[in-house]
Amino acid sequence: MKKLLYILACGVLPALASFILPWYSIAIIPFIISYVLNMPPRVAFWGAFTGVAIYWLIAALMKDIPNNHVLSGMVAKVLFVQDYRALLAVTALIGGLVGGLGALSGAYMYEVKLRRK
Amino acid sequence: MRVYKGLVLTVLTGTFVFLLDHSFTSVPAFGKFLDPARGFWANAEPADKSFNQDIKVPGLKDGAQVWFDDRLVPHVTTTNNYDLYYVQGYLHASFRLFQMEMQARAASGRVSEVIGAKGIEFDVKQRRKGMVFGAENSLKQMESDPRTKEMLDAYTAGINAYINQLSYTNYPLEYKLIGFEPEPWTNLKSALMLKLMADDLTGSVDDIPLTYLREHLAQDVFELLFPEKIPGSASVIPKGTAFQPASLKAPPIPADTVFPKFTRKDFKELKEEGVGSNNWVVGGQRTYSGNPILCNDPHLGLNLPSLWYEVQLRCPGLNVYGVSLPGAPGVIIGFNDSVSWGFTNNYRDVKDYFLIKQNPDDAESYMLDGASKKYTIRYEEIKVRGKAPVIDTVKYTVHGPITFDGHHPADGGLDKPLAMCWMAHRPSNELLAVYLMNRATNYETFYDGIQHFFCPAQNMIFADHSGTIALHGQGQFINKWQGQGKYIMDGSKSSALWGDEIPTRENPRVVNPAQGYLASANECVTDSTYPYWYNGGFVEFRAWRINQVLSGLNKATINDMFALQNDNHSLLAERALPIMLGQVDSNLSAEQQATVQQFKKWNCNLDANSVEASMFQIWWYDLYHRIWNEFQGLPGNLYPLPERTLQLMEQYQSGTLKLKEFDNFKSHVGLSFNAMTDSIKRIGKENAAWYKLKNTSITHLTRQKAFSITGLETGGWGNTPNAMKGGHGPSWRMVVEMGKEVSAFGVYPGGQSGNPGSRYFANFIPKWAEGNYYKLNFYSGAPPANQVKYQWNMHK
Repeated sequence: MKKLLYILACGVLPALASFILPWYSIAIIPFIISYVLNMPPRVAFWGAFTGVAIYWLIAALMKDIPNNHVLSGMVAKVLFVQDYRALLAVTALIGGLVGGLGALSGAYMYEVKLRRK
Repeated sequence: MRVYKGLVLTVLTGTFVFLLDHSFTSVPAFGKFLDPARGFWANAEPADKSFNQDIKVPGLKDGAQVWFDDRLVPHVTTTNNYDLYYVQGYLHASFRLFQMEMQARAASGRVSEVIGAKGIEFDVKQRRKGMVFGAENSLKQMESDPRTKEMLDAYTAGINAYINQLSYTNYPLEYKLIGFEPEPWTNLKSALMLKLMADDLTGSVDDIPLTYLREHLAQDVFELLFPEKIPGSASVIPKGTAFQPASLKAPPIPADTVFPKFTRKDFKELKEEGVGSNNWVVGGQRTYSGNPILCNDPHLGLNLPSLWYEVQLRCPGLNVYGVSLPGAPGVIIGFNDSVSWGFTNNYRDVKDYFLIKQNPDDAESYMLDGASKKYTIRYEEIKVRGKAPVIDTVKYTVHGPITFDGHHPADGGLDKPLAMCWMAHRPSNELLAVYLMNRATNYETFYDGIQHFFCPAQNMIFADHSGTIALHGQGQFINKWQGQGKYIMDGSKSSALWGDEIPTRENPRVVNPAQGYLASANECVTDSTYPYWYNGGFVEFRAWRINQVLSGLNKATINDMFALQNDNHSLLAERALPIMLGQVDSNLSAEQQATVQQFKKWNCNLDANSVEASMFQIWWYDLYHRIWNEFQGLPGNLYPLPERTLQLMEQYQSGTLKLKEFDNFKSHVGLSFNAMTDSIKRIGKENAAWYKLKNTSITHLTRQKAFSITGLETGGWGNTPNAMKGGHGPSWRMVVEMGKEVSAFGVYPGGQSGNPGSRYFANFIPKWAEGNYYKLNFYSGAPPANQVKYQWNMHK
């Protein structure tokens, strides 16, 4: 249950923050959450990865579907990616990776705090 | 252990994020770019996006209504001029910002700031042409007239109002891809846009190559191959038109030698070629309806976003429709309720080169009539993205800037210091001409207006609702002595200097000619009765063909005009093919005989799916090169015009040609025929459709294939009225009937939006490629509600 809530928080909070914070809040917010909740590294990474990847995927789809994949098809070519599906996957992957690494850093930083005490 | 891991990981993650947040030359900032909230996904316009908006902008005096029709063409209504041009600026910026910025950067040689070191060579070239120098001179002129000053100020304010409310999220896609920010607009940038057009349209007169050829060929051969006026030119101003007598006497040809000598070795390599356009008007006595019909299709580089943006502008004293140039206010080609007009490039030579004699004792000076004269130095700092800036020192002489020298050789690899004397460097106010043309109510007001149009010189066609038709070779020209500026001149002699400007009212023009129609297609401007000497880079095939068709029309309709703009008939093929076929050997293989039979049945139209068109074009291309290859050392791109080649072939055929190099003509025809049949075999007949071979393409300004369109199924070629080449073609086709009500049709290869993610990005292209037109909605008041797709309500 905690894991599920963690994933959800890592996806939803950056989505809400996106109205005011820059894109890399997808690293900062999972960092803080995993630090505060003292998540075990493995869970921290994969949880945030999943949460952020799903957020980016859904957000991208919300732009892409009404556009009938026209722009994503073109940008895929520019970035040498197969097609719009692959570009959606790359988007989710990059988002997930940034989120996961942020969370992983947070998890390990918790140890830094313990040591200092 | 885990402690270090924590710190190291945080640093690594931070670095990773930093890298994804920064763009490098040719790699976008991936994190920022892929961010679905603000990155490129934000540019994915919903296919059913509504453009309705209530827009609050600072600086608008009164307010504005903008109605968009179903093609996203805005119909703007304001209560005053200022608001009108303000809104035009806001519109251009909203739909074409990237294009405007890049073109202004290209004009001023500031591309490297954005694309990095690969732009340096281009930037240096632009700086050395004195583009900014010319734009500054013209801007002074434009800002000294209250009408154009207001026009520019309003237009710039409108663009900047749009830019100021932008955030990264709504930057045009290309900014995100390349990774830079929109820069504020200035009046200078609008002046630069007009210089960019001047550069595009006055760049192809071949003073430097001709200098080479004059050295290389015997004089009689040179004159035979490169006549100043092609015999039988259709001429823009019809033969027999009476010209206003010259108020200036022709200057005497200087007694001293003003053409410096070069040798073949001074030239190392060579390059090529130009753009063209058609316009014509059929007077009421030759149309079915009795109203004049005016047509224009300027041929320019085919790009996305398109060079043009369609617009209707209306305020007290003005109601004009046509195409505008994103980056400049007003309507460039179009019509209002009283008059219509169109342009083709005039090609009279207004750009000459002078060999500069450096003062051997002083690096800062050059010689003029034996005396030393200081250069005016302009330091050009070219900022380069990711690198240190490059400083280029451009030396200005009495003639103009030294454009070429040892470091930056001219065409042909000529590495001597050459200064460029160019009409576009002089102060001028073309914008005032645009302002006045847009407001013209009859021929006289139109004619007064175009007097301000100096450079690039244009053949300006005109028709009004009272039935007047006219054509003008309009621009600012120099009263030259015969031969002046035809070749590189000796810049150390003042006798070579440009003399007086010819009063623009003495420019050749014709009003209501007896023949009842007028046409121009970049051919020679006048017959030999025009009192001033000039030269230029003129071509004839399209003009011949258009005159041929128009002279046969007595009850012309709009549909006839559409057909002529889309006419693929090759006069070259019609006249050359019989000669070529006549020279082909009689002992041919069965297959080759079939080819000959196929040609005999062909209508000489370069239609999209014609295989004969491909066969003829290949055959001609090969033959043409074989013919001129006979002239030892004539570089491939300095061959005489196909028009002239054809005339010489005809002379050969009739036995009147005295040119020993043509002795092998018959064998060249045979060899090129074989080469052609071999090529077709290799390509395969199924792949030999003409459109596949020529591959008409519309390339995005970023050169990204993904945003470009290739392989359009179109016929035509540069020498047919439908001048559809690989990357050049009709950039705007317009047909206007000037009746009681104006009835107008048009299409351009693009769409109103510059956003590749918009459904309005390239939506006109299919219609354009098919040769069809849109009916242009020209309203005298508010449009009927059912024709309004979206609406902007703009207020302060």
